[in-house]
Amino acid sequence: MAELCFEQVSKVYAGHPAVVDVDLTVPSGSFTALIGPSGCGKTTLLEIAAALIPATTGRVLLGGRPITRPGPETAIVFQHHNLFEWMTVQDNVAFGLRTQGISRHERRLRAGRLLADVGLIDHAHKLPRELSGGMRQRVAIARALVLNPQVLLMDEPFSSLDYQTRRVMQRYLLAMWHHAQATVVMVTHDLDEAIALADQIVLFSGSPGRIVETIHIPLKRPRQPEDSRLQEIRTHLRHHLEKEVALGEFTAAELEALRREGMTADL
Amino acid sequence: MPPADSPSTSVPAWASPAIAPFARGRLRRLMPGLSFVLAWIILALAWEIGAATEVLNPRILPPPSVVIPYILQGPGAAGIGPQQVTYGEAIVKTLARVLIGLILGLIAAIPLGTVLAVVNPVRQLILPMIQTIAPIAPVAWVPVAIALLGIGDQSAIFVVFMGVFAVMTLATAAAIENVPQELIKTARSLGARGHRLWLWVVLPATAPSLLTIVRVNFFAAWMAVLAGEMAGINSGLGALIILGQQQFNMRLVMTGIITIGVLGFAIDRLILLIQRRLLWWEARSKGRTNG
Repeated sequence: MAELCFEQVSKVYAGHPAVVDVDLTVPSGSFTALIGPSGCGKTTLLEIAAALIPATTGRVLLGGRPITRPGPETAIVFQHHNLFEWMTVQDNVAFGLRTQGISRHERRLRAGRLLADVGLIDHAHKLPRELSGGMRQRVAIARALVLNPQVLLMDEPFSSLDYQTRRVMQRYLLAMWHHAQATVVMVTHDLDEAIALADQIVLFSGSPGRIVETIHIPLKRPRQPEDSRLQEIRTHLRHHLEKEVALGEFTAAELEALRREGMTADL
Repeated sequence: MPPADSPSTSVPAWASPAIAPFARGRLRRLMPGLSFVLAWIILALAWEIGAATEVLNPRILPPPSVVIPYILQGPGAAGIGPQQVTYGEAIVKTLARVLIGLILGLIAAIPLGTVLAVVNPVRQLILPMIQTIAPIAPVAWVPVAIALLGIGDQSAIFVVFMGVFAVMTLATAAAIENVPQELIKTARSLGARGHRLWLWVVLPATAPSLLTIVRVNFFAAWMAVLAGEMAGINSGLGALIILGQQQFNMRLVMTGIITIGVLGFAIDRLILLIQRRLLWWEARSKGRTNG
């Protein structure tokens, strides 16, 4: 476990800044949710932290050391499961071990143990397309955890699932997180998800993305969604997000018109 | 009468009341193969009747009762002197040309397509060239091939190669570009790099498209070689048909046509079988969902 630290991170794509001057510290073993309108560069930040793309300026430190290339310390899970269709569940989970040159025998053993831990052992020899959507995403998470990463980066991992499955998956993730002891950074659009899971919620403004606020939630998990302390945070988040979306969606003239009509009172 | 909501299958309505459910299930499974044979029998019968009643000119379209024994007895050597072509030889020649041309095409197209997909400057330079070559009909290369290489096997192989190379290059580049970026990123974050990334992720991810490319281009190669053999490369199945025409031996022409059809069909099925074997993960899950 180690602290993840973004230092003055900016990313420019072909002249267009995607994220600007991000300074963020994610304490060791904590859960951080990134929230903001679409296209505010949250995914870009995760990919920089995973060393999949380079930052234009700034750097990301893990336990004080800069991350320069993809390694077993960080793992990433995307919205789409990205499982390898041509491998069984067990081989998918063992993929990270294979790239590390671990022997076939030990790969089987370790992947099998992990699958047993997460309750997927009965599906070890199935193919990804033979699984349900939620199950595929659980396999994707298990695959990311096989190398015991210090940091788990998740880009809207549950957003393609239906509401009930998503709730179940969130509880599952909490259990996995306790088990894996990793530092988690999760991008989400789902306010309830962020409130239910995160130690800190980082709010981003729209293009270019920059941090506007960080909210700490010092409450124990599992949390009751009806908790009055959470209601306040939820309202606050909702206002922020709707304001940012309105700014990105409408022109200045439209916003002015909406204001005259009194439609923007709570933005 | 069968219930109105019975699933629509290929079992004709008039057949179902008479057949017990068990037999009907078995029939249903055999139906695709049966209907295929049935269609050919109907066509052959119609042809036979047409020829017998002289609706079809039997001298131009000799009926199956003439052509099939002719094929079975093995059409003897046709032609005179150096132009002599035997049936078996023609088949072997044509098949070998297709196979070699197709394999050479693949050997050239897969690396070039990969480079086109990955190295942008090469892409800018070479892609328009390949796109210009792709729409040229293979038969257009025949005069060039004959002038360069004579009327032998090399010419035929050259024509096949030119017929498939450009299209396969473009398709390979497209297949590689279609591998989702996130899949590559996921693999990289799990530690895959360099040749392992290509071997373990990009290759299997593109395999379905690559095999489809081979299957589609087998047809292109098959057409190319026959056109070439008809247009001046004086050997092989294509030449056999032209020879039949010149000697007004329509049995030989029909023999050539039927052989081309049957061989083309058989090889396509063979490629399909190989495709299913290699893409075991696709075949398996299809089986599951159906079972």
